[in-house]
Amino acid sequence: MSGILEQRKRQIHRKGGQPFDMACEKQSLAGSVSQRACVFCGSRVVLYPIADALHLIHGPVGCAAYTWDIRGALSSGPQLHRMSFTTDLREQDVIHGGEKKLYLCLKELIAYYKPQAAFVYSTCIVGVIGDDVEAVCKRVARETGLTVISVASEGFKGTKKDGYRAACNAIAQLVGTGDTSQVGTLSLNILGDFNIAGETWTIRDYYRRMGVEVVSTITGDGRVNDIRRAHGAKLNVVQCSGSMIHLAKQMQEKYGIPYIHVSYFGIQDMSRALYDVAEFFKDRDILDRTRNLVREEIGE
Amino acid sequence: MLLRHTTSKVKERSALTINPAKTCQPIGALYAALGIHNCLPHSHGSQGCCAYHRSALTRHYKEPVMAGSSSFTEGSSVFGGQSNLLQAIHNIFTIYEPDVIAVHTTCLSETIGDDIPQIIAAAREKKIIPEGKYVIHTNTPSYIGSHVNGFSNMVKSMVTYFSQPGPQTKTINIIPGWIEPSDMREIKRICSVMGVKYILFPDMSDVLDCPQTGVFEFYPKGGTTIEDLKRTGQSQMTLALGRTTSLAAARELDTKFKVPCESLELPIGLRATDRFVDMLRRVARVDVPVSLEDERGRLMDIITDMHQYFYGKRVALWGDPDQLVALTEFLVDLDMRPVYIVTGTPGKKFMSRIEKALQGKVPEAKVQEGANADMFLMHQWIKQEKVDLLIGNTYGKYISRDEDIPLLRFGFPILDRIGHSYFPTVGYVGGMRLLEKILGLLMDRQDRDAPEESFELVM
Repeated sequence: MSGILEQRKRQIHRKGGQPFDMACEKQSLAGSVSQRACVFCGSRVVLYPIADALHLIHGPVGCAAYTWDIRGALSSGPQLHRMSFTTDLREQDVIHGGEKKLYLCLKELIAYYKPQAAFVYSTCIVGVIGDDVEAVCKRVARETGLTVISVASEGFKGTKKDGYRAACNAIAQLVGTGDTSQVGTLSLNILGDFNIAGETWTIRDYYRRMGVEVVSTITGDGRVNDIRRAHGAKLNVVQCSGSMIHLAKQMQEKYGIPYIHVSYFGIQDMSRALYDVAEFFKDRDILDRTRNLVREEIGE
Repeated sequence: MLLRHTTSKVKERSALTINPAKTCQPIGALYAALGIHNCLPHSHGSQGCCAYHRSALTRHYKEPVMAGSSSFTEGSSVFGGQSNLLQAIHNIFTIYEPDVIAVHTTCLSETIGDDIPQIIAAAREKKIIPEGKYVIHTNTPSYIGSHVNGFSNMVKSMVTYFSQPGPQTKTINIIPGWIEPSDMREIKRICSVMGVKYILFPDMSDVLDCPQTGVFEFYPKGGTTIEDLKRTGQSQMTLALGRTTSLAAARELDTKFKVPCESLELPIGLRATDRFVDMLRRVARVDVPVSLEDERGRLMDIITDMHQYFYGKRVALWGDPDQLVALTEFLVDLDMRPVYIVTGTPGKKFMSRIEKALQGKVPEAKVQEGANADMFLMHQWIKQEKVDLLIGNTYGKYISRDEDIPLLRFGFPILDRIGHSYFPTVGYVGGMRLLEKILGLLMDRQDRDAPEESFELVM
């Protein structure tokens, strides 16, 4: 091993030195040993916690096998997201196109599992052979009455972050399709938490104790019908902004919902997040309850 | 119930795969390449592929797995991946300094039609491959076969690129197939105690089961050396263990260098190990040492002691063809009943091999390979009629939990346990270990379910 390639200098950092400006959102330099993933990976990890949706991977078996329940996103109800569904494209499909197979798979899956919505992920090969995934999704949606969303996640099209963006675009197709008449004025969406170790449950509970209604959690322990009415919330609280800022901005533009950035890591950040939310609502009761909550939790 | 939707009615499916019992070719090629000393595997495709393969292997072996990627962009997908691969070869030899770069393709680079030998030739012409260093390749289209075929292809490429003719030696080539590093170590040990001269390739022992020394070695000390790979063309014979993963390379040696080949099933269990030891004995003209006979005797003794508990137990197995065939024979020999057998890896020969392993003793056995042979099908079968034991990779844990059936983790990948890569399941010793594990699971279950009045200290 000898040194660092010039083009990678800003991608590698040894701890202990000065603050560092890490170069992100770039593809790895060809030949480097790196763990940067693909567009598909980004979309898959962001969307898969939506537990009552069908997640079908349109491509060869590997993309589905490697992402089968790997992230441990927890659901308090349905567990459909933990299954691995794939069109398992074979050589003949690559030659003649995979649209027919995709159509059949979707129809079979929807009839069998009766999901709340379906996401179809495109992989590298689908982008190269030119399957019209969008058209198949529309056709199946028409025939079944289910929302079937095409996720443009061809692996080679960029980095994992481009996959986050594709996932946000997919979620945006659900947002705004539900009835918000029951959503109150003191309400928010939790964005960018994926309930990997049940933290969405903890945070949702904090907001409940503060007297703030959580309309949807996107996407940890997520549900299709909650996301459909997410546009009724008055605030978007974004934790992992890398994955969710695109959606927050879209919702601000389209529905006028403001967003704030928070971090739920550590006592200080966690408390700050709750106070920021409380201050946003400018409600004395909420602020009081938040003070009490923080006091109770940190055991003072 | 995680798999609450699965019902006992086997649903006709035209296309769909649910919970696959296989993965794609490139990961097999990557694993095989780690068995060459000082080799950096390289994935010619999108960077995600390589990231997934590395993490899947790391999760199974609990060791760092090094590999490079061509990091395809939209541009490379349109204009071809040549410039990416040339840049990769240059960067790898500049920074990581391996002796060999082992390139495998992906669905993406296969479909756009990158010609890897031509790119390697261009690299040589541009002098970016240093003197005495090698770039080898294999084609691993993800939409054909499965991970075991990718493994087989890379092993065959080792012969294609390295093996050389020469005066015949007394050495035996052993191609071990996709087994654990510990299994490779055990095969080498058996050869050593018998005094057999061998070249084992690929060899992941001391690559993916390294001792903790506090010092990170980018290229661990293990792996078949290039010198040994070159000499495989001069050996007196090649022994391919597991025809799905090993026969292609063995036949290549036969075709190119007239090194005759024999194929055996993996030496899992008593009789398969007997055949392996006997083959070594006959070819190398050596005697089986008493120490090995004693090992065999101990396995026999354990089988005798345990047989009463195994008799008639129904078992479901899934995984890779070579493992399934060998394991099936072993289980049938123990008078167990492997009733459901599933592999996602397509292959016509598999059915006849399994039939042979079943020895006509399990007429109720259901076997499926290839399309629709997945964990969903397995679960439906189990719901129709239960089994006493599951044997397969980690992906069986959902069924194990939902149906409350004990699971013996065996095969690839095992993502939720540690230690499997350190203890062999091949050879007489490996057989003993398998038996101990199987009996432990069955007895634990009996203890757990026993009413107080029949809960026994001595079993």
